[in-house]
Amino acid sequence: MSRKSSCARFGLALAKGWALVLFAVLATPVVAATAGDTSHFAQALLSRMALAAKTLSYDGSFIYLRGNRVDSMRIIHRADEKGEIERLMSLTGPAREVIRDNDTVTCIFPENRAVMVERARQRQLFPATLVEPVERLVDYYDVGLKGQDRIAGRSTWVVSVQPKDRFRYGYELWIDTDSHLLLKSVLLDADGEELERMMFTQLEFPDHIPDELLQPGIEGHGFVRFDSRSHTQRAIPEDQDRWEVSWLPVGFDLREREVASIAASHVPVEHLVYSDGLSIVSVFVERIERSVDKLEGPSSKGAVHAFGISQSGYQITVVGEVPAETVRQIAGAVVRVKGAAAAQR
Amino acid sequence: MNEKSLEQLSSLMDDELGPLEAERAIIEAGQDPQVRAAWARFHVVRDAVRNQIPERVAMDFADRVRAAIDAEPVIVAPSRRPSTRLKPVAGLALAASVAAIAVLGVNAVSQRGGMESDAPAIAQSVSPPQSNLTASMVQIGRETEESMQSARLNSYLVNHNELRANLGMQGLMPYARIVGYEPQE
Repeated sequence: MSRKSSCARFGLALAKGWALVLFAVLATPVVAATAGDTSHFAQALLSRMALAAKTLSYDGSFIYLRGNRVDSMRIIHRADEKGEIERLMSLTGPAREVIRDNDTVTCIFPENRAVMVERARQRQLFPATLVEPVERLVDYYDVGLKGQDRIAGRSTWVVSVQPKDRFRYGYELWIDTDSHLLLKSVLLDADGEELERMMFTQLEFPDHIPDELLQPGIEGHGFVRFDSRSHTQRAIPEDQDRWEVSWLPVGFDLREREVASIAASHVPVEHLVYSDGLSIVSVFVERIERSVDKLEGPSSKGAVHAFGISQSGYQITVVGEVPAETVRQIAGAVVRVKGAAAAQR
Repeated sequence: MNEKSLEQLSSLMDDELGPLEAERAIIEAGQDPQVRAAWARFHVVRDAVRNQIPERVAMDFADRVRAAIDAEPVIVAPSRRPSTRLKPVAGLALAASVAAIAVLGVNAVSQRGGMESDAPAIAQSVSPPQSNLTASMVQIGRETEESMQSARLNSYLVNHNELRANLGMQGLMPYARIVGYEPQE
């Protein structure tokens, strides 16, 4: 995809009238004036990267490496005036797929003959990183521009984000100089050890992505379904106990709180989201009815760590792309706030 | 284990095979531990979704069967209608699937022994299968918990991804962690 045709696409998008803001942000040249500005420049790149992932249409293959395991996957993402739809499928091992549209996230596990459907949350055009003051972020991370590189045949900026303490992970990000799409990402621990790597090997920006390409490749006939929408939503009474976290790494604060039905649970789950502006940690609390449902101790999926504990009939699970120690400590700090006090908050 | 045997297995589970095909599928499954594991997994997942895994029954059941096996030689009663034995009964679904595995395990031994059987569940005075049986049942017990926990973790992870999409660093393809397959899952 040349620069020229991507400009043509911008023109088209403008004509449709849905991407005025996108144009304003993406079309303004990002220039690093002096070495001292590289941190701001890198931060600006991060914002554009977040925006590009949501607003561009692309079709590409990438590898996903963690430990000694490697998988190859294909992503097809279409963004237009109707919203976003994307299909992610594994090209190696079981033909798992995740299809996400404006309403649902559908995960297909053919090896288990299972389909899991969760409710998609509306995505804002501007992620918090766009409005987050740089000064805040640099309290906890060193953000800088490392140089330029080439990924999937395209030229990229390399941005480095290093944590200042051991409670968070660092990133190295290869961002397309033309589209600002993230083309390669490496997750690192505080010692600089690589935990996870994703890298595009091939990428296209088709002018048109047909609906057929966004349909699941597996019929799923006779598959069992976990569907969060099939659970009746039960509101939590105002005077019921709420949950809070009494300790968090410096810089983390509460960004979201919701009570939702999730596919794997028959009871509503309280979900708290904490962030330092870059790293995000979720705390899930639900009443457990059966001990087989208990999730105790540490577990992980790639660089995502989880830690579960049970407390007086509730399952508490902390999940995030942060070190195992961070989720463990946060899990130990989850406290119950008595009903009346919670209602006054 | 190939695609075809998985397909057969899933047809067997849905009761879509004729008696002969069902018998062949069961014999084949009995010879392949991977297919047996897949069979157990299918049931566990289905039962989990239907909320039919009663608390603690998995391990208790396996223990009770193991105790019974230790106490006396294995004699599996002949059955005229093998296919119905494989159908999980509501409320006892897991027990039924464990029983089905037991049938598969025993049947594999009877095959190796060169016995002609007119129904897959028939086996007479089989001596060595105890260790195989108990091992696979213990494994199923663990698999139940692992499947449930894996499903729960996936569910949490999707919701985590969704709520954080408007915050912080999304990284490249957070859903790759759902699509990426870990053999120990």
